[in-house]
Amino acid sequence: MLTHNQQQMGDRPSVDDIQKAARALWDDAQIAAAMLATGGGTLGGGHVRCGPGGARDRWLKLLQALAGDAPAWKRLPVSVDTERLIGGLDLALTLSQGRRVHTRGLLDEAQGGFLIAAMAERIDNSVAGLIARAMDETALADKFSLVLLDEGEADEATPVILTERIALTIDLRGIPHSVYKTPPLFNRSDIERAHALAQDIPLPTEMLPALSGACAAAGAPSMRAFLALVAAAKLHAALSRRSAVEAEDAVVASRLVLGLRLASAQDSPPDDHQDAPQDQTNETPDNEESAPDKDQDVQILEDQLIEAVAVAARASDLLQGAQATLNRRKGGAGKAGEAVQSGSRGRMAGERRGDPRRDGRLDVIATLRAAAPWQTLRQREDQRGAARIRVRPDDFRIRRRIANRETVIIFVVDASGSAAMNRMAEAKGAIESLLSDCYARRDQVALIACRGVAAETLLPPSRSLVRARRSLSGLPAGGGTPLASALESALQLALVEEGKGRTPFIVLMTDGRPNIGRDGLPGRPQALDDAIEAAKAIRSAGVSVLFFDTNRRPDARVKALCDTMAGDYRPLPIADAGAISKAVRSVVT
Amino acid sequence: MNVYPFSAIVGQVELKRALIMTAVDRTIGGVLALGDRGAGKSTLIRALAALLPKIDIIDGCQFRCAPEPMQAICKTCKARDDARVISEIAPVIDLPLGASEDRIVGALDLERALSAGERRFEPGLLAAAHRGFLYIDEVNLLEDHLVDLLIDVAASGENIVEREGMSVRHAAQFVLVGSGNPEEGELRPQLIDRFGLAVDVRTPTDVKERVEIVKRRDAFEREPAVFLKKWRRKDAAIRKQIEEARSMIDEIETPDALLEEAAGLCIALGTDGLRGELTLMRAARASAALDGDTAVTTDHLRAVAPMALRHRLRKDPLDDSDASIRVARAIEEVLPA
Repeated sequence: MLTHNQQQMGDRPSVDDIQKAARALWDDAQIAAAMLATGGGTLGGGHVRCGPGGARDRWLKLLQALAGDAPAWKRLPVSVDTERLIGGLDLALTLSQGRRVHTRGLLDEAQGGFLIAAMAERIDNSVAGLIARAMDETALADKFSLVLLDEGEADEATPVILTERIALTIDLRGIPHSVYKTPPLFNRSDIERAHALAQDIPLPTEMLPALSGACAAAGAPSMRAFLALVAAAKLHAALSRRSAVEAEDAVVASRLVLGLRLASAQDSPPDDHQDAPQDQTNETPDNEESAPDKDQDVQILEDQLIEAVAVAARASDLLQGAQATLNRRKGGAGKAGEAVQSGSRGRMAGERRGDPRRDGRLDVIATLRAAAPWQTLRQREDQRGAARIRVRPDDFRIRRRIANRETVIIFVVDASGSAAMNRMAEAKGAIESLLSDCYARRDQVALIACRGVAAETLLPPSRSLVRARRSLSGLPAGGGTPLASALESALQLALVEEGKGRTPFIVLMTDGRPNIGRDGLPGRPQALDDAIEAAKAIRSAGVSVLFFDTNRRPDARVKALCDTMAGDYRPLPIADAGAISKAVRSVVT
Repeated sequence: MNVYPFSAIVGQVELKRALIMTAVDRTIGGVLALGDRGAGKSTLIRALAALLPKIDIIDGCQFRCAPEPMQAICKTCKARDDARVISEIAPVIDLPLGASEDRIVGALDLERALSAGERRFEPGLLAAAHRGFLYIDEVNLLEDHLVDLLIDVAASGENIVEREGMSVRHAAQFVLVGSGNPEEGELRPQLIDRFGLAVDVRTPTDVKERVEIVKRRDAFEREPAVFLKKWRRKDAAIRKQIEEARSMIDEIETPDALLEEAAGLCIALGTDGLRGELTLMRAARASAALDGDTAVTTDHLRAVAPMALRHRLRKDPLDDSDASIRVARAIEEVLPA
C-alpha cells in the first residue's frame, strides 16, 4: 500500500485527476447519507474520516435534511459521562421532590435517530462499551445510527468496538469546496420513496455467495461486515427505485461498506494496465442506466467484486497523496495531539475527599452520598432554615482521574547490511520479552524497520503478544539504511501516541551509517545530514531515546548523532535480546 | 425486545456446548470465549437466558435468596417467617465496560438516604447475577481495578461491601462468561484461571454457513413472531435436556481409572495446579449427564479436554504452536482412540 502511494505521489497526478477522484468520493458520501437517512438502523451508522471543515459540515447538513425533522439528532460530546449516557438520577428534581427522579440518557434519547460523535478517535473504551451495548440490544425499529466523526490520523484510534458495528465508511478528506458545493443528488422525497420500498425488497439469495466472497477478498471476514453489506445493497436498490437487488447495488454496497473500488477507465492512472471493461462506478442512482442482465452469472459478479480489491480505494489514495505533498511543502508533520493536552485528562478512577475549588471536578453524587447518612443528625443540631439537605465542606468529593501513564516503546531497528538478521531477531526477542510481562505493566510496543528506501512500520503500537508474533514472523532484512526516514516515522508515531496521553519512548538500534536520504536516493553525505536534521527534530520534541550502537567498537560519530537527539547512548557490539529488554526496562520504569 | 433464539444460531458448536455444560453444573466455573469479532458470541450468550431452568427464590428478597439451604439465606430472609417462595427466570446479566464500581458491587440507596435519611443498601450487578450468569464482553479491556474485584468475588462466591458507613455481605455465585479478542489486549493470568472452560471462536468461513446466517437473520427481522415460534420449541427441548442432566448429575459414576486418565492428561500438558483436573472431571460429568449416560467414559473426557485445558498450558513465549493443537496432540498420546 505504501509503495503504491509513493508511486502515485511520484507520478504527480494532474489537477483533473484529483478533481475527478474528489467528485467520485463526494458522490459516494451522498449515497451513504441517503442510505443512512433511509434505514440507518440496519447499517449501524457511518464512520466519517475527516477533520472539521466545510465538507464535513455540508455532509452533516445534507444528512439532517435527508433524514427529515422526525428522527432525533443528538450530539455526543467526547467528555460525556456515564450518567448522561445511560441516564441516571436527576439531582435537582430528586432533591426538590424528595423522591427519586430519573433522567433519560443520551442513548435513549437518540433512539430511532442519529447520534453524532465528534472526535470519535478520543472516545474512551468504557464509553464505547456502553454505546456498543445499546446498539446491540435496541430493537431494530428503535436503533439509532451512530455517526463517528473521526479526525484521527492512525487507523487504530477510534474504538474498534464501534467501527466494526458500523457499516459505512465515508471519506471526506481532501474534498475541495468546488466539489461539495454542487447541488445534492437526493432530496427528502427520494428518501421517503426509498423508505417505503425498502421494506419489501427480498433478500438477494442468489447473490449471497458472491457477496460473501467479496467480504473474504476485502479482508473483512466478520459476519457483521457480511450482514452490513447485504443491508446496504438492499437500501441502494430502494434508493434506485428498484424492487429487487441487482448487481449494481452490490457493487456500490461493496464500495461503501468494504472500500472495494472497481477499476474503471476514468479512475485508472495511465500506467496501470486496463482492466476488463466494467460498469462505471460513479453513476448516480437516479440515472436510467442500462440495467445489467437479469440472469447475470453470479460468478461474474463475484469476479468483479474480487478484482476490485486489486485497485481498492484508488481515488482516496490520490487525494491523500496530494494532501501529503501539500503538508510537506507547508513544513513538517503537524503536532496534532499536543494542543488538546490539558491537566485534567485521564480516565476516571473513583472519587476522594477534597476541595472542588482547588482539586478539580466535584462529584455530586458521591458528595451527596457522603452527606446522606448524617442528614437526620444535622437537621436536629442545625435548626437554621429549612434546607432539605445539609452538605458540609467535609462531604465534598472530587473526581479522581488517573492520567494515562502508559508507555509506548517504539523500536527502530536498522535492518540493513550484514548484521541485520541478527539485530532483527534480537529485537524481536526483546519485544516479545517486554510484551510477555506487559499485561502487568500495560505498556505497548511498536517496531519500525529501517531498510530499503524508506522506513516501514512492521508493528503498530500493540500490547498483544499474539499480534506482535504474527507481524514479526517474516523479518525483512538487507538493503540500504534510510535512517532519516526511520527517525521521522518514529517521531511522528511518538507524537501521535503522546497526543493520546501515552508516554512515547524510542529505542534505536543502529550502526549509525545511513546511506539513503529522506528523498529515498542513495548518497552518504546527504543521508547523514538528513539523519542529523531528523535527530534534531526528535530532540526539540523532547522524546526520550535509548540509543544502541551496534558497531564492534563504540564510534565517536555515532555518539555525536546520539547526542544530537539527546539520547541515552549504549554501546552494544553483540545484540542480545535479554540485555536489550533489561536496559529498556531499567530506563522506562 | 425480541432476543434471537439460541438454537437458531448457526455453528459455534463448542461455545454452545460449553455454555450448556455450565448451566448444568455451575461449579465447572466460567466460560471464556476468545476469538474473532462479529462471530455471534454476544448473540449466543444473550440468548442463553431462554434456556435456563427457572429458579426458586424467596419473594421480595433483594439478594435473590434460595429457600434452601437455610444457612445460605440473608439476614432479612432469616428474620422473616412469612417467606413465600416464587419461581423466577435465572438471570443473565450484562456487565458493560463502562460500568462503575458502585453499579457493580452495589452502593448506598440515594433515594432512601435523601428522602428518609435512611441508610440502605442498593444491590449492584453482582447481586443481580446471583444464581445465574454474568457476561462481560471485551473482558480483556476491562479496567484493572474492576478485574481485581471480579476475581475476588468469583473465587469467594460472596460480595463484601464496606463503604459509606455500610457493611453488607451477600452471596454472589454466578457463572462468569467473558469474551474478547486477544489481539486487542492480553488477559491477566489470574483472571484467565477463574474461567473453567475456554473456547476459541472463529468467524464462519464456509460460504453455505454464512449464507444461512444471513437468511435466518433476515427471516428474524422480517417476521420475528413467526421466527420465534419456530425456534422456541427447540430452545425448550434444550432446557428440558439441561433440567434432566441437573437432576441426574449426582448419580453419575466416575470410575477410578478415569481419574487416572485425567491426571495423566494434565501431567502430559504440564497444566499448573489442580484446578485443571477438577474442571476436567466436572465437565466430563456434565457432558455425560447431558448425553443421558450413567457413567463418565473416556469419550466424554476426550470431548471436553480441549475446553477445560487449553487456557491452562504453561506460558511459553517461544512456543508458537496453538494451544488447541497442543491439547489435541496430548489427547492422542495419552488417550489414544
